[in-house]
Amino acid sequence: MKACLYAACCVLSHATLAQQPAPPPSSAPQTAPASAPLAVVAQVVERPLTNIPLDAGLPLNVKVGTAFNSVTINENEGNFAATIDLRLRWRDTRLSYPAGETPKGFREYRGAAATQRLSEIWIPDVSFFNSKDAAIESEGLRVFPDGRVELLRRATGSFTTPFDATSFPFDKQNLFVEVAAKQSNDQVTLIALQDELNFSQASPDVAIDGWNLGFVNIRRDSTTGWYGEASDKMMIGLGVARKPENFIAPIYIPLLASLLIPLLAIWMNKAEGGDFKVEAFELANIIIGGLFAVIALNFTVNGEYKVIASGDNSVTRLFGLNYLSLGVGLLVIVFMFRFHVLKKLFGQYVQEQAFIYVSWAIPTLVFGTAITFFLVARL
Amino acid sequence: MMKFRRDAPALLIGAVVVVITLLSVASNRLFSGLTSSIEQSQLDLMQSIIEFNLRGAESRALARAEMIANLPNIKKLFAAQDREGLLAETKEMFAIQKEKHGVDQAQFHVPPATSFLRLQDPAKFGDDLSSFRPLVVTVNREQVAKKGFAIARSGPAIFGITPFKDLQGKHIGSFEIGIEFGGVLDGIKSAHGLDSALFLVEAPLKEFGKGVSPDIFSDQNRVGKYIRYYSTNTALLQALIVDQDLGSADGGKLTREALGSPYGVILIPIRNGAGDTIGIIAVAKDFTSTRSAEGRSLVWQIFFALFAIVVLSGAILVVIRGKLLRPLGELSARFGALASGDKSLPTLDSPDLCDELSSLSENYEKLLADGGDK
Repeated sequence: MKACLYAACCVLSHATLAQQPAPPPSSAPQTAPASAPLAVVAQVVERPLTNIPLDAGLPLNVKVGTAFNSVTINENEGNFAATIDLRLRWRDTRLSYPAGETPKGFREYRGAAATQRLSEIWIPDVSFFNSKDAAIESEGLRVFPDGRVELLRRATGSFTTPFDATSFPFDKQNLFVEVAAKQSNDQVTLIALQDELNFSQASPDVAIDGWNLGFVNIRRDSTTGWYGEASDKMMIGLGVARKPENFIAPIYIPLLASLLIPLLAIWMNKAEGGDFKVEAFELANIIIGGLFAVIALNFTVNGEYKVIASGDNSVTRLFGLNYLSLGVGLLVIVFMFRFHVLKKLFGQYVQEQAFIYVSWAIPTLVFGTAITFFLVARL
Repeated sequence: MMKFRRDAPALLIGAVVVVITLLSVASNRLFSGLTSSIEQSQLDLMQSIIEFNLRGAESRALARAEMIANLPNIKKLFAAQDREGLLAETKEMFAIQKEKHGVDQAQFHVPPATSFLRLQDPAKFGDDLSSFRPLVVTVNREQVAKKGFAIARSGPAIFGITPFKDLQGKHIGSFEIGIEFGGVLDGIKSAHGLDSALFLVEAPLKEFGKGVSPDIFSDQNRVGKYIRYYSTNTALLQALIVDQDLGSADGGKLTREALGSPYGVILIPIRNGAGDTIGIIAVAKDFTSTRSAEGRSLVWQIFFALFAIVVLSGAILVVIRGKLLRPLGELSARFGALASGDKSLPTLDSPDLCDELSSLSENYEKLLADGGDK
């Protein structure tokens, strides 16, 4: 047996602990002080430093903060790539030591020393819940005389996050890094106090192409395990707002231009004495050509911007309006220009006036609807 | 001179426009009223959430204080004025309470209001608190428990103070537990998503809160006469709350914008036991959803009004001009030509005419057949 009567400094004998400086940190087993009551020794004897600290009881509070160092958004894949600094802070009084030992106020471990020290002590088992490939690039550890521990991890990876394009191109998104504890929340509680909020910022160097940066916000959530136990999860979200001007030329101008196609088919005709001067099939050709143009544009936009292809937003609505306008244009051509339905039902003067009416009413309604879609997305 | 062709449709369309516009405005006013009332109820709810949580923290502080003050060993040690013994007995309890439950102050007092032992700062004791801790004075004078807010030497907190009796039941002082505001505000954010900040009047904070970190008194945290002491979202609250907002000691309700998003903000004054305002808690909630709904509703109402006006105008124009004015114009031209002796214009097709105009057309046909001699 690895002799280990680990640290009497551990647990329970608080008064004794506070009065006696803890031994310097070491991976070597430590024995309980001779003065410790046998019952206490019995409780602490099998608790190595790699076990969760129990001196303040459970659950243990672990403070979580995340700073964003670089961010690239891949909304078509529903994720963002980021390099982040994850800071975890907790207290483990077994690691406390006399303050005089460190002029800096803390012991610091970096690189291999940090890895070595981390293998010797308990650290919160947390994961990036919404990332499969986040890899830790470097770690740093600080241990303060009173047992406070600060673990800083720099990680890079892609993080899945929901993109809600309902308000596209005026949408705001939250790029969430979800830090989840693997222990249930009766053992480890994740919290974020003001220090964590202040730490959880985007670096001043962060700039995301096509997006403006907003506030970082933290909220607490939970995950449910196999047996119904709950574990804490902190969701640290970097708010970003899309720059709408980037989408006017590639999406909105083609969409608005294609709205003119059915209107042109109506405007091209001319009524004289109740008869139309342009053959209906020529106008129908314009509509059919327009239909293919809109379908092609639809494919292009859906392929390029997958996030707006599904769901309800101003772009999908404008595509819908395009198809509807083409349909209305086709109905006008077939029923009014080709079969003269109004003339047959109500006479030539009604048809003549109806033609004048649709020449301005349909464009008014079509562009009124398009503007409405745009404004609704803006608000 | 009135032109029926122009004035009749204009009158009818004008009437349509007026009616639809009035209906749209009325409908919009109703929706705006609904939105305002939802926002008002949200603000009221925010206020009650904050007040409920602050009251809860006061009660928890008092409950802890009463439990500790009734432990026989504690009674014995305090009665014996054994400061070291009290500290040894309670320091670990306090460390755990501080670490896990946001209890950041615990203090024994002797009457009338002299600090006997601060668990958060055992080295500082013996000072008179009566000038800035009226609740402690009251508890020791009236020997009843009190709870409330105060700026103590170690900083602001939510206090529960209980009178302390020895084992014989004799009043020997008081004991208080102080819960930090930050934990309460963080809990509210976790549970309700409300961001908040505690602003404290700088002068008493500086004067009485000797143990407060001097870093807090920075220009970045200074908002008029207040210091932003704690915030669950510093950047947001910094953008939302300005000096003038904190001018009224009675608090208030505001709406503000930050980074293009509207926020509803309530300001709740924090008063000490003497009734003096020592600070203000500002609570903010994102009102984007209600404001967006209101804006979208306005846009859709304008669109529907436009749609209705265009459709009804079409009906008016097509019916009046297509069924009445255009055929009448044609008939008039024919009668005019006939009067001038021109018989070349043919009669109109009766399917194009309504019954009333058909009879006119028939008359023209008769005149034409009679050679226009009658």
